[in-house]
Amino acid sequence: MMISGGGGGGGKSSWSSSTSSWVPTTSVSASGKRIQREMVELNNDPPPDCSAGPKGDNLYHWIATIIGTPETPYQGGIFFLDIKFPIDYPFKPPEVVFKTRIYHCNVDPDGRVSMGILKDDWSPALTITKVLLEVRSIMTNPDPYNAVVPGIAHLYSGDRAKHDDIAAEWTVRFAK
Amino acid sequence: NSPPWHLHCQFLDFPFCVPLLPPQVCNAYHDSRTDQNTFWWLEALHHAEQNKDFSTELIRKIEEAISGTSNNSKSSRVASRISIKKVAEQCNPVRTDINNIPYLVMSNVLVYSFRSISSLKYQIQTGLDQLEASRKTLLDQLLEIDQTMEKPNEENIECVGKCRNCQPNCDGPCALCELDILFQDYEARLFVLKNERGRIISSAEEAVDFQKKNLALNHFLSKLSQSSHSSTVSDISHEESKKRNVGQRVVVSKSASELELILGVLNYCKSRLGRDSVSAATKHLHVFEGMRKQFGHTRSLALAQAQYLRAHDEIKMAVSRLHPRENEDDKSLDDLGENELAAASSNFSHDKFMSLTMLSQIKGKLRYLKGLVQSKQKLQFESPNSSLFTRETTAMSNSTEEKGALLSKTDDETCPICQEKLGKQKMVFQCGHVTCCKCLFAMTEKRLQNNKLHNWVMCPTCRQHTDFGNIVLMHGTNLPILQCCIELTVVKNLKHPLVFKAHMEPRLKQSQEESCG
Repeated sequence: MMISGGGGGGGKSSWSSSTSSWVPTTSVSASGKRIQREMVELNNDPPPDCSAGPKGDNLYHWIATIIGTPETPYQGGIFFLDIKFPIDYPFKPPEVVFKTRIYHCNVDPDGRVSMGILKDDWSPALTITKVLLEVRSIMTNPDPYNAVVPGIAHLYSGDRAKHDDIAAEWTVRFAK
Repeated sequence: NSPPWHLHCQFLDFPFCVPLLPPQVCNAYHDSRTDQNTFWWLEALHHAEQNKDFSTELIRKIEEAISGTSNNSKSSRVASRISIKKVAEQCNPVRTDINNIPYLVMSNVLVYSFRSISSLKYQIQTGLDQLEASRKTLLDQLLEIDQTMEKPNEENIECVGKCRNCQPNCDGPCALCELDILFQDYEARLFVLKNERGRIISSAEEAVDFQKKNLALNHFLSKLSQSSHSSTVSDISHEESKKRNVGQRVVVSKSASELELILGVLNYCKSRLGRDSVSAATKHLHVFEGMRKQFGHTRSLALAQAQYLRAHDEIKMAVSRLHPRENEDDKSLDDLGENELAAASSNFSHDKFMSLTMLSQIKGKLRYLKGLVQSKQKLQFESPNSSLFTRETTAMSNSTEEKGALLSKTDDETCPICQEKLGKQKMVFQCGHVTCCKCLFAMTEKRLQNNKLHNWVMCPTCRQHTDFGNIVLMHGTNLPILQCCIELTVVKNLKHPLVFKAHMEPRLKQSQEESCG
């Protein structure tokens, strides 16, 4: 890791010497600029039933809230999520963790969200706005075939009514 | 002097029959025309008929004007020698037409003054009519082509293509070649009018002689296969010297003989003519001068029209070349068949847009050329022509190089990764989406650090895989960039500002046009 990082640093220094417009993209300033732009965009055009912003002074640690969608067992609930940006964001996906307990087959007991776009399907063009929309989408339509909690997925497939009752009970207990 | 007198008496026996026609023709012209420009020189010659001394001085003035013009002309050395010989050989008047004039007039003082002035009237009228007719034919043809510039005639475009490929002697000359013939005819009449003044022969013979010279000129031009303006001038000069070498008694110069004749008449008759006639004469002389100056501009306009039609021909060929490629894409059915077809369609639309952009640029330049009619702007008239050619070449080369790239609005676009405004450089993926250069390098760097060795990179917008060889750098050399050559190529481009500017300039102008549109 250190050797690789050093090599990259060498490449960057040669770049900066050749062109004045070159800015190393893995520096804090580059990813920080991107995160700041996303913050401005979120304030200007927030997605429905969502909000997000930095937690304290650390630009790389955000907190987000998602209100449960009506007609789902999570309706009325307010769920808090932690979002942590890697240093080389946006070339690596951010880490999204549910701080509020939720009964969902794609959220593990520790609250980590399991979505394709947060793993191999991540693209540098995606933004936090789109990530939040995706999280809200899986709350409406769980994906039992890529579950991290097999029991919940099994119940969702086998006995949907009981699954919804348990989810609603968790929402009342933890999210309201 | 008695022997010359005797010879001329015998020589004049022949014209006894010829002048019978001129008086009637002159009267007919006089009755049919009430134009003041025509009337003023008739009035002058009318005075000459009534006064014998005035007639003698008039002819002497004309002779002096013609000889002076011949000495001052810019024609070749052969012409200068001939004019010197003419002055030296005044003792042998039979050899040259001009030296016949004073002896004819001296004889006419006694007996034939009326007929000499009548023949002079006839020649002036004939020259003016022929000049006007050839000028009208030329301008009608030129304006006819000019009116089709917005939507050029398909036949004209095809003729341009064929005429360029075939030899000039082919059966179907294009509209521009026909226009060139008219130009030669008009040029000969406008600049060689002194020929008709120099001879005292029947009009039929004059017409035949002129047609022969015209045919010889066309034949000479067809041999050389040249149609540029400068070549035409040099060819005419060569033709003139050729004829003089043969020994034919033809006096040609670049100044209008009719103009010089009228100048002489005007200078001598100022005190005898009325105010209206003097102003009409002055106006007429200015018209002649303007026509001679206008000739060059008219010629340049015709050349611009030729370039315009050739540009249309090239656009047609470029569009036709795209069809087979689309068919090829359509035939090859693989996993990316649908994407390939969409990409081919995008490329086709892009190339058509490029052609239309180039066409609109040429149209704008042509409109600008049309507006230039002032002699003061002659130099500016030339430079837009050359810049038109340069711009056309640049546009064509850019169209070829940027086939794989899609046009996108630079003003509104931002990089999807860093979300900053895209600069003038951007990387274009095979799917047509763009990103800035440094973000692409960062993506590549991340992939290398993860030890994932691939020949492709995923488009951040649509996740389609693009080989490194298919990524295009816009506003650079527009060449495919390999993975191992990315940094080297970009550095090279940035270190050669001339090449960079050459490619950047047309792009900027197109961007401006798009923003205006």
